[in-house]
Amino acid sequence: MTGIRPVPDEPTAATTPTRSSENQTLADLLQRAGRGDQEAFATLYDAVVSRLHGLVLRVVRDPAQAEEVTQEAMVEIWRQSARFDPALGSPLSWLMTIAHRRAVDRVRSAEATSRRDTSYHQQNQVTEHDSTAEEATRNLEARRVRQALGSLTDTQRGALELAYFGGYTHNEVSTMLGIPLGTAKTRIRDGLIRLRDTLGVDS
Amino acid sequence: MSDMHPLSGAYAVDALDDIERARFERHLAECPDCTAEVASLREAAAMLAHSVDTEPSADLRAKVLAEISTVRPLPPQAPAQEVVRRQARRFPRMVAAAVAAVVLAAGVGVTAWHPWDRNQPGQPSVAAQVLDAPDSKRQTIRIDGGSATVVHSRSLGKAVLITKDMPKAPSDKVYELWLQDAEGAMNPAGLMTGGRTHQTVVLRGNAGESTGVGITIEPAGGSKSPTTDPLALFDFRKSV
Repeated sequence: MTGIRPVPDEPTAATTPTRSSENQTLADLLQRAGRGDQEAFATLYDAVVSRLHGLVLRVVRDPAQAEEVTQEAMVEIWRQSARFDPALGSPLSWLMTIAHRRAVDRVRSAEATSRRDTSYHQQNQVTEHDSTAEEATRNLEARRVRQALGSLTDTQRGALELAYFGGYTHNEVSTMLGIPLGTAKTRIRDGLIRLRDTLGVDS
Repeated sequence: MSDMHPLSGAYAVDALDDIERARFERHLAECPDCTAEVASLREAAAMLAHSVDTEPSADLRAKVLAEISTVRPLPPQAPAQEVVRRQARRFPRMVAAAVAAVVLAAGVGVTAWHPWDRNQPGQPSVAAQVLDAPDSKRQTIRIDGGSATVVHSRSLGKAVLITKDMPKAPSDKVYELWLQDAEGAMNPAGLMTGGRTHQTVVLRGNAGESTGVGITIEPAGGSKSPTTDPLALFDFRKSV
C-alpha cells in the first residue's frame, strides 16, 4: 500500500507542497537577485513570467504594450528584490502585485487605450484567450482557481473580474454594472474573501 | 474598523483611484486589521493569474536580462528618499523605469507610495492631511499622455501636486511649480523632474491665499519667475 499515493479529491491549498515549496524557491531567488545575482533572476524570470505576462496581457490587451509592461515590471522586480519581505506576504503575491499595478497604471494613463477601441485586438484577443485557457486547464492550479471562481456568485465574479482583469476602478465598475458604489465595493471584497477562503490561501 | 474598511478589496486589486489609494494607505498605517486583510486578499488575487498563463515572445527574456544588467538593485529597507535620490543621480536612465523615483529640490517635501512599502505609523504627512482635509478640492489636467492633479486645502494653506506618467523633463531642465497669487503673480513653489512615475509633491509656500498653480519647464536649478509658457495651469476656481 505504501507505493500508492492516494489522489486527494479536495485540493488543500496553502499547505499544498507544490505551492509552498514554489514560494520558498521564489523567495530564495529574490533574495539572491537582491544581491545582484543575475543568474538567479533569470531563473526567477523563467518560473514566473508566463503568469505575470498572462495577467498583464489580460489587463492591457494590446500584445505589444503588454510586453512593454511585463518588461517594466520584471525590471522593477529586479530593482526591488531586496525589499521583498516574506513576513508581509508570499513572493507570488508580491510579484503579481507589482505587475498588476504596472498594468493598471498603463491602461489608466493611456489616453486612447487599445482596449477601448472595439477593433482588431479585442477580437484577436478572445481567440488567444481560448487557446490559452485550454492549455491552462491542464494545470492543476489553474483548474483549482477556475473552480474557486465558480464558487463566487455571478455578481461577485462579474465585479471582481472587471476590477482585476479589466483594470477598472470600483467607481467605473459601479457605473458599468449600473449598481451603487457601495455595492461594487462590497462585491469586489466579498468575491475576494470567498476566493481566498475557497483556495485556502492566506498570508 | 472604520468606513475605510470595505475598501480593502478594491485596494487589493488596484481598483482605487490615486486619491482614494493615498487615503486608504494612510488608513492602513493605523489599522492592522485592514493590513492583514489586504495581504490575504492579495494572495487570493495573485492566484487568479494562474488562470491566464501566457508566454511572452521569446526575445523578451533577452531584453529583460540585458536591461537588469544596467540597473542596480536597491538595498533592503533603506530610507526611500535617500536611496531614490542617489539612484537618480547615478543612473539617470533609471528614473523612467522607477515606480517612484523622485529628485528632491530643497524645501519640497515628497512622499512616494509603493504598494509594498511597510507602512510607517505616526503623524500623517502633509500630503495626506491635505488629501483628507474636509475642504480639499482637486483638479486634473492631462499632460502628454500623463496627468497632473492638484489638491488644495484653504484651511491648511497647502497644495499638493500628484503626477502620473508625466514625461521626463528635457535634459538640463526641470519642472518648476508656481503658486499664483491674487494679483496674478507666479511665486516659485518647488522643482520636480518628470518620468513615468507617480510623484506627490507638497508645494512650498502658503496656498491659502493662492488662486492657482502653474507648471513650467525651467533650466536646471529653477528660475525666480517663469521663463516659459505654462505646461499646465490650475485655476482653483475650477477645482471641485
